[in-house]
Amino acid sequence: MEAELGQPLGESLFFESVGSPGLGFVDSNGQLRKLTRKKGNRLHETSWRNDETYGIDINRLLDTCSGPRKTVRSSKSRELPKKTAPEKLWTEKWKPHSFFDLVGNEKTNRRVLKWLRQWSPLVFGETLPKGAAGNWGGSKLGAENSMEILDPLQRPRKKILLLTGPPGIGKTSVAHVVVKQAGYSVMEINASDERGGSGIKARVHNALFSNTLDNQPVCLIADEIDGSLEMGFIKVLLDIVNSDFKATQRILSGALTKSKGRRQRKKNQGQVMTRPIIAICNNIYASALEKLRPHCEIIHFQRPSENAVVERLYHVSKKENLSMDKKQLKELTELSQGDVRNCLNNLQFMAALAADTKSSSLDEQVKDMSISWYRICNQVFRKDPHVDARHQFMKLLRDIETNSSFQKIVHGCFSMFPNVKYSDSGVKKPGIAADWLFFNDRMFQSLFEHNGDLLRYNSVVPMAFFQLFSDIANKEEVRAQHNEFEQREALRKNEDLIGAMHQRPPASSQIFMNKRALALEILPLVDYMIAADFTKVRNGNIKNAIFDNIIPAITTFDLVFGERTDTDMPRMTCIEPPFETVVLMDQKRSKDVFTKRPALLNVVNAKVQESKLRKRTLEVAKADKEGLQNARKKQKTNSLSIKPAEFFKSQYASVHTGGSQPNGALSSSDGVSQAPTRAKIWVKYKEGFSDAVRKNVTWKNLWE
Amino acid sequence: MSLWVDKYRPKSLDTLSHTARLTHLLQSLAVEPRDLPHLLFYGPNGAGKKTRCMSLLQSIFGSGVYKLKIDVRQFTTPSNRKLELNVVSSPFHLELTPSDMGNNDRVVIQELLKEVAQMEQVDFQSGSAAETGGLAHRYKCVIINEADALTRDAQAALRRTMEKYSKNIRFIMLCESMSSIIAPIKSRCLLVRTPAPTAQETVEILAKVAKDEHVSVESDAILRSISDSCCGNLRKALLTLESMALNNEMALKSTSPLIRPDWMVVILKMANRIIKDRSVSQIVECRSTLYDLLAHCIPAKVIIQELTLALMKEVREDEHRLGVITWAGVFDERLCLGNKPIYHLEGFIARVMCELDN
Repeated sequence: MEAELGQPLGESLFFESVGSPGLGFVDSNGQLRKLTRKKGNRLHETSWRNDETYGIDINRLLDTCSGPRKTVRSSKSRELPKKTAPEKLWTEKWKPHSFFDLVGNEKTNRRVLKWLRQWSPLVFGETLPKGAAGNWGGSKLGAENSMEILDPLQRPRKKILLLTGPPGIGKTSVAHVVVKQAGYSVMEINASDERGGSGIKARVHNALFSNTLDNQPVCLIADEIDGSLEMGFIKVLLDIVNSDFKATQRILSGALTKSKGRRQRKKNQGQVMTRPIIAICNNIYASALEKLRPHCEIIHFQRPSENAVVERLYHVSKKENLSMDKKQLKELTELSQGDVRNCLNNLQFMAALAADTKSSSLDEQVKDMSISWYRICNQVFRKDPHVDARHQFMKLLRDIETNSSFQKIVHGCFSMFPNVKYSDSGVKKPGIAADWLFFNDRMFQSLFEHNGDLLRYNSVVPMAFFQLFSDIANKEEVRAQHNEFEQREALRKNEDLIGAMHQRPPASSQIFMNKRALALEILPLVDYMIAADFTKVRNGNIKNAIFDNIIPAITTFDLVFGERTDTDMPRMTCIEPPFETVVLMDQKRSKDVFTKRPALLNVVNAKVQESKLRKRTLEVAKADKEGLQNARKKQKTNSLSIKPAEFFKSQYASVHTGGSQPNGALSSSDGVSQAPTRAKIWVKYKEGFSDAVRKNVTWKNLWE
Repeated sequence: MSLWVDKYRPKSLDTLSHTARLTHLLQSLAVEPRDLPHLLFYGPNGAGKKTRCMSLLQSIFGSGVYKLKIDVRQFTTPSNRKLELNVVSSPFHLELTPSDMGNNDRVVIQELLKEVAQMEQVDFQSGSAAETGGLAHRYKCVIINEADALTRDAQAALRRTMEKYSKNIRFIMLCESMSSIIAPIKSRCLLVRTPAPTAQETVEILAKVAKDEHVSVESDAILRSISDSCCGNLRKALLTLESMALNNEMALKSTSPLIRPDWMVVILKMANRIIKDRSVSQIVECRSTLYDLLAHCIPAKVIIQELTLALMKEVREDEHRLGVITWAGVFDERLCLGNKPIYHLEGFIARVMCELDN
């Protein structure tokens, strides 16, 4: 890792080797500056521990990067001749090697650095005397000590840093550079590693909780963690965070009781995390990351500004003796939409081409680069009268195949075609398009059945749209409407609502309905019942009959009355859960929800409360009555015989003395109770069966 | 206190209302509860499958089958995902909807059913042994809802369980169509077709309920139109009756407007629009309606079915009717094969428009 750090600095952007072992750079005035290393600056000792502010002292930073470089410079790796470079991918060759090489949003880069810096009090153990730190596991020991002395929250609040953003904008590079800059050595685990099994746990723990030989603390970089197969790995990370949480809690509470022996604690509860973890992903909303997200400090990476990228590319092309003007480079960056890696790849490719053919017209070489699906969709509907149709067809087909997000393109075509002009008799063409859409649907299915073998044939579907709908008259951009997404969201919401409604009725009626029937029949009609308009009913009896039927509808689904919060109008009664959103589609009736219904619902609500009250009083009365009856019964039995407990006692006594007259039959049949002195009472009782508990068992039953 | 659907739901075999022939069959099954075979009820929605199934259980086990409780069971898939399933159970049977678990229904079948099947039922009610032959309770019934939605894997897992543990367990499966049930399962079950009530039967039932609820009905015509609009779905018919009664002061006149769920009204309106105006702008309008319908949890197959029926009512010429039906068939198949309903629904509309233009 050291070698990698030091090796290509000469080729890096602002640093030029000046012949002498010192480090130099060209400053803004174009003057060459030499930097000399400060004495005795060990890498990991140079943290910013004294620096309380957010800013970073540039000079000190420079020292930091000059430090390790010096040590490597003497080694042979430095001697790499520049001209062998073409064998290397430019993306590797020109990747940034220090904080200053980073292109793009500096603020985010600094945030990463700042987060990492928060670890340094812990990792580099500032309060420790230098001698101790220099010896065995200095940093580790320091960490432990500082953990005890300092507040555990000295570390950043969230223990994992999650970098996210589109591919090719340098997340991995930033992580590597910053981590090295801060004095850690990198331990990277990415998708190429086996991350499933049990081995991974050992690896991660090894990295986090033990020391490297060179005393450099390790920072774990978990790259590409948003794959769906990474559950195992993510679970390991989660376990670490959780155990750390436990340990931290313990330390916080244990600060009062003071140290009780470190070893014992460690065994019992969790392990304190002493090393930072940086995770990198493209899609932060991947389902695999769901549980990890709350534990992470999330930094979104934005695409670097176009100018910055152009500047960088210009620099590279100049270095590589490639004559490109800035306009061309700008076009290049536009095409790749901020993907720096893609830009560099293309640039290298162009350089190779230029070397071969010496013709450097950008136009022809850029063609294989992808155009956004949106632009393709628009092109599908355009017909250029000056270009041969055949040629245009070929060009479009190639564009589509390069872009290769067929589903998006096809759906774009589908949503756009009614808005464009084309000649048709009646609606024949949409009918034909439907056949092609079916073809597309079928081919797409192969993704689930044949590993996507047939997906490639989807490229012809937009071509069918081109044949059907392209017209000279279509010149301006057509906007695609994205109903699809909204529809899916609404569908999910409604499905959830129906699921909730399905759970509400009591089991005895729940078994007779399923979700489909709820959506199609039950809820729409129940809605009609609840919203029944009874205001015009004159006859009091009929009105009551209506209420008597509305109330069951409400109680069956356990509906609650609430106040609408999504409107400005005050005190508008509505029903919870708001199942009318699933049901209502008619505009007039949807309006009623706001106008007529609240008043109706208020009345119904009053009636429901009334009926509840009545029911309760009835129940109370019933319970009273039963209680009375029970009491009476008891009295009766009491008057007939002695109290049960005493009865039991007397029976027991009689068994003991052997003079058991009333249950002689039982004791004679029971072998154990034959011996009069050792006799016991045997009670058989069916545990767990509901009857056993509910049935009134009298003593009589027992003795017979 | 419940909806009329639940209030007037027959609870025992004697009170079952329609399709007397089937009731006889079930009664004969209940006579010898020991010999109860695995059952597969199939029939349209709202025809009374579950009602019959529960009535049968009631006649075998007594009214204890209606003492239901719901509990949540947890399952772990082979990929270590935790899943939850609601299981409704009484002391004598349990009921599950494995299709709630989607593709993981196999796990439910394997774990839960095996667990139930391997437990022998102990006959606690030995007192009544003489009456029931003593062994009636030696098995537990398992009701599987929406059996047609079971995956192949789950069905395959089921077939052996059905045989191996037939001593302890009886399955009663409910489904709308048998087409997706594999042959081995069909051969292990007694197939019970549960037809929808005829229009006459529906009207009779509605009239009886109306009488019991003191709803004055001017003439049978209105009941007949309710039953016509519900196509034999008794649940829907009863719900419609109740909501119409509540909205019409508990008195149904022959002229009272029929209440339909909103989505059906929307589809009817769309059909009218399609016939009146056949243009691309109309297609765009229909598209937004279709999106709306789909978002309201109306399955695409139901949409195409209702739309076709609505169109058939309006289209008069034979040739056009033939065309509409043909295209409905074609696009119905496409809906089954594909998974982008909006493409096919709109395609259907476009094709119908073409057809009507000719």
